[in-house]
Amino acid sequence: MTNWHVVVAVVAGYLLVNLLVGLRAGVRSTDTVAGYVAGDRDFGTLVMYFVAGATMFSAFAFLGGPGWAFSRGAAAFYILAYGVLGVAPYFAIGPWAARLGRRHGYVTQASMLAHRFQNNWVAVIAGTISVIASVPYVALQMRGAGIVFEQVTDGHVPLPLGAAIAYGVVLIYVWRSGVLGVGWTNVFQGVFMVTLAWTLGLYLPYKLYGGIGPMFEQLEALRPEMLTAPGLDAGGNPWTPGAYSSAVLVSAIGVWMWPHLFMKAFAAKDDATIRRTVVLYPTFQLFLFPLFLVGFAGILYGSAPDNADAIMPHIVLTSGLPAVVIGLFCAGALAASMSTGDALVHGAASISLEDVYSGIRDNQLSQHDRRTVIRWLAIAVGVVGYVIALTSGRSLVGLLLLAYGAVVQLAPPVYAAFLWRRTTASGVVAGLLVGVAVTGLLIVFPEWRPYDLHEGLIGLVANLVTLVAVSLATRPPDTAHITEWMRTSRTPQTTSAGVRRS
Amino acid sequence: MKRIATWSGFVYFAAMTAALTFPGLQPFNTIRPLILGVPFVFAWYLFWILGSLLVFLWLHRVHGK
Repeated sequence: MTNWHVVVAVVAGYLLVNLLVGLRAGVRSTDTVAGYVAGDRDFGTLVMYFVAGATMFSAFAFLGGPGWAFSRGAAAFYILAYGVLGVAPYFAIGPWAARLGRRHGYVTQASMLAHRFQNNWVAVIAGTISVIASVPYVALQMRGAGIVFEQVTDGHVPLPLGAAIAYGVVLIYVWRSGVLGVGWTNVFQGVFMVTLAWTLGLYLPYKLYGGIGPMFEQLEALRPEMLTAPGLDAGGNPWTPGAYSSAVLVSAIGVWMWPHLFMKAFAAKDDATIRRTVVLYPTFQLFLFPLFLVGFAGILYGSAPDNADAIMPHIVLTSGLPAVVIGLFCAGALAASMSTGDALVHGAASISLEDVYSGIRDNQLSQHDRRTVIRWLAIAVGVVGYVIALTSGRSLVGLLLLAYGAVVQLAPPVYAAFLWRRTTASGVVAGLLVGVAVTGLLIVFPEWRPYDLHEGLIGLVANLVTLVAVSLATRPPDTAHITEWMRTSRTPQTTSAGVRRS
Repeated sequence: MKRIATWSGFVYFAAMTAALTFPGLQPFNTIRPLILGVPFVFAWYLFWILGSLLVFLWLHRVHGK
């Protein structure tokens, strides 16, 4: 058996276990939208922890994290900064959203906003932003999976086939099990990627340089500019403090606004589950540390890949590791890709029906039929993502930048919904449109950005100012509705057995 | 107690934001001393992440009751 055969055999085993876990997970789900989209609101701490961690850290973090440390040095630290800062508000907002979800039956964040602001167009616009943002992100995950397959098999499994195999498995378990399939495979994938990251991250510096300390001492002597923030930009020139700091801020504000992450509040069993997930989240975040070590190890490594994001597979493939370890690495990278891609596919499909379609037309479908439509939409999202992954090439990164800038714009309406009673639907809609427009404009004309600030952050400020101004200029919302909504969000509920769910 | 915990959490994460972005990061943006072999600024980020774990634990303990 040649090396690439061993690698493929290990990866096939990994995919098979994924499939079995994903299919098994859906057995106890009810035949309802809440069952398919929110797991019957029964996710415990274990699943929520891995959903939060594994979903947030995608192929972009697993391959891109080391890639950034390798090519841009300390610029990569911004990824370390924003994760915990981003999850902190969820400690309060997560339980508030979950209580409202249990009371009013929300399964998506846009449906929550539409009800709060008594306006379906809020759901249509927020849902459309979410779906448009999710598809290039799915494509990026697919591309990541395909690249890993191609690299570790010496091209015997080309990118299109590798992406199709990995996401074929994803679509099967998403179809069968919905969010329960996503949740339980995330547990398996999360354990896998974290174990791989720590093992390789601690082992490679010892094998190559005799330890972490000796590696950084050599780096300090040869490339000290790589070890202090803000590091380098994509062109190899010093990155600016403004760009670095605004990247931290926009990512921290935006990361939990991604619908596939936010809507997991509606899947949690109770308030305490969400809080425990937030408490434990920093332990997951620390897995970036070994990944960055691999990237820093790459700076001193004798050879370099064409693409910085391929530094981790490059070192793994050329440092004399056994084929089984290479196969396990490949499976770990696929886990990072699939654990985010499955949640995105499932989230985008759910939002397309529940928010966009239902916001435009009166949805008379039964629970069973809605569940079936979401399944077909998941397939459609997967196919569109696959086509983009194969045809887009480099422009995908630009598309993703726009996507992130767009998703961040959901933050003002979400926070305003919970914190400012005077917010009106007109203010939210105007804010969203202005925020997305400003962000898009600055992506096209980056030279217009002051102090090299992230375009999403500037769009966010424009969004917020517009939301406040238009809300104050329009008729105040119905006080009784807002009072009831706010009270529900702040009041721990009791179960049918009289047990407090917090 | 809940109010104190909530405000402490708010202050911690506000301080964390300032400490991990410019200009607050600048005084700690050095390679030396190495902490367990890791550049000081790298360890600075890890320190704040570990600190957040303790803050979250305290918040959960107080708000969970």
